[in-house]
Amino acid sequence: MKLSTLVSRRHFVAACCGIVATGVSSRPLWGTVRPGGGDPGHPTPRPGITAANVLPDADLVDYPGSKSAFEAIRAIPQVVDGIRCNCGCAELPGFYSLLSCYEGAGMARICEICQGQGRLTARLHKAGKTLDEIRTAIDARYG
Amino acid sequence: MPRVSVLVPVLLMLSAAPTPSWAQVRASEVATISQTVDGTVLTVEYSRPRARGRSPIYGKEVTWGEVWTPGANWATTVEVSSDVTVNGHALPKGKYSVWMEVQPKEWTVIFDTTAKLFHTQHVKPDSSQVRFVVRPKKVKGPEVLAWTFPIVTSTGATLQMAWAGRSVSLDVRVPASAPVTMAAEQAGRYLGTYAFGWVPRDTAEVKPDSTIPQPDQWTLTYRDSMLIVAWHDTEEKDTWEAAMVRVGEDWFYPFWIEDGELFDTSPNMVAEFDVIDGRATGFVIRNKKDEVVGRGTRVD
Repeated sequence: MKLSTLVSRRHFVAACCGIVATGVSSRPLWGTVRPGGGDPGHPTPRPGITAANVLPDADLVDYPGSKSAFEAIRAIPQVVDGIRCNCGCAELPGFYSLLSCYEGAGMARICEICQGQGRLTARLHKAGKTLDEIRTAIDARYG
Repeated sequence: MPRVSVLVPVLLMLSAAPTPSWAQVRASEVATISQTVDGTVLTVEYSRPRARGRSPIYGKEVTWGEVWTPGANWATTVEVSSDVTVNGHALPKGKYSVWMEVQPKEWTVIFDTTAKLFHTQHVKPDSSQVRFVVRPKKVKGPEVLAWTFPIVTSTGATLQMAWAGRSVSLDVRVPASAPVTMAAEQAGRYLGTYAFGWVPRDTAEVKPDSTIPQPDQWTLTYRDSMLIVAWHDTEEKDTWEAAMVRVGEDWFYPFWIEDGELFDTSPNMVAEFDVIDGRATGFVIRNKKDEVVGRGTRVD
């Protein structure tokens, strides 16, 4: 008997494509058409930026899966502010950088791309990568 | 009486009149078809003439030797969002008017860089044009001229024009957005066999009487200038193949192979290899949220 929590390759692929998990059609992340459209450039971190406006844990009670991503980016707001979010929200008014996804309406609470970019940014920063190296990796995986 | 008093009622009448509708029935209605292939968008805009009992069309309505736009009214256009090839001929990104010089057996397909031309503005040979010869096929119908994409693969599409007993098929190839080829020396560090298992999504759900499943097996080989993974799934007792698409230093995602052809990618499923002294020792699979969902360990 298999562990019920394990998934087969087929199930995983289907879930990745949004067929099983969300019912939402997938968007190719590596196609020539970028998810966010328009300029794929990254923003310049704003001097003195802090994580003061990042949503607190109290606002994440209903979104436990996002908590680790919020924790990760709270520690490095100056880095996350230099990353462009590729989920499409970068086109919205008031959004400056990936950090914006973790503030205000807290899009990162429900958006897998915002969470993924945040976790990857934190992981690479911890590994000693520079902002430019992190941007390159973000573009490779989410651009 | 001031002139304005006359103008005001007229303007009011005009503004109150129903919005004029410019829609009208056309003998050859306008149509647009578009097909995306691996990020490249192919678009055809044309007007659709009907045969309306005219027969034969070719050799009579469209005379032999005529440079004809396969459509009506404004010349049919083809737009490609990146550099492609059509029947092996390079067609740079852009919008073109399309023409066919019609002869009894062979037609010359012409892509002209001037996209906006009326059907009576037959193009003359020009070095900027892309021209090549095709042999039209005899088909049944159709009554209304139709451009379609009857075949779409991961690397291209067949663009077909059919009308009144003849069809012309164009083989369009698009540039690959996912590079699947790599040098043998680059691939060498990953070759071998790995035991692979999924990471449970929620360990709290693991039942005490559950047994640990046999790990899947990943076998990485180098074939046709590609790093190929043969993934044997012990649960489904089946094996899938994928070419590994390199997206970063030691990062790959699978481009699944079915019936010998690359047919679909899983870009959200990234395998990150650990490389020590130039040899991969294992890998993790991360999902879109950058969570580790699977692990592989080298066994051979």
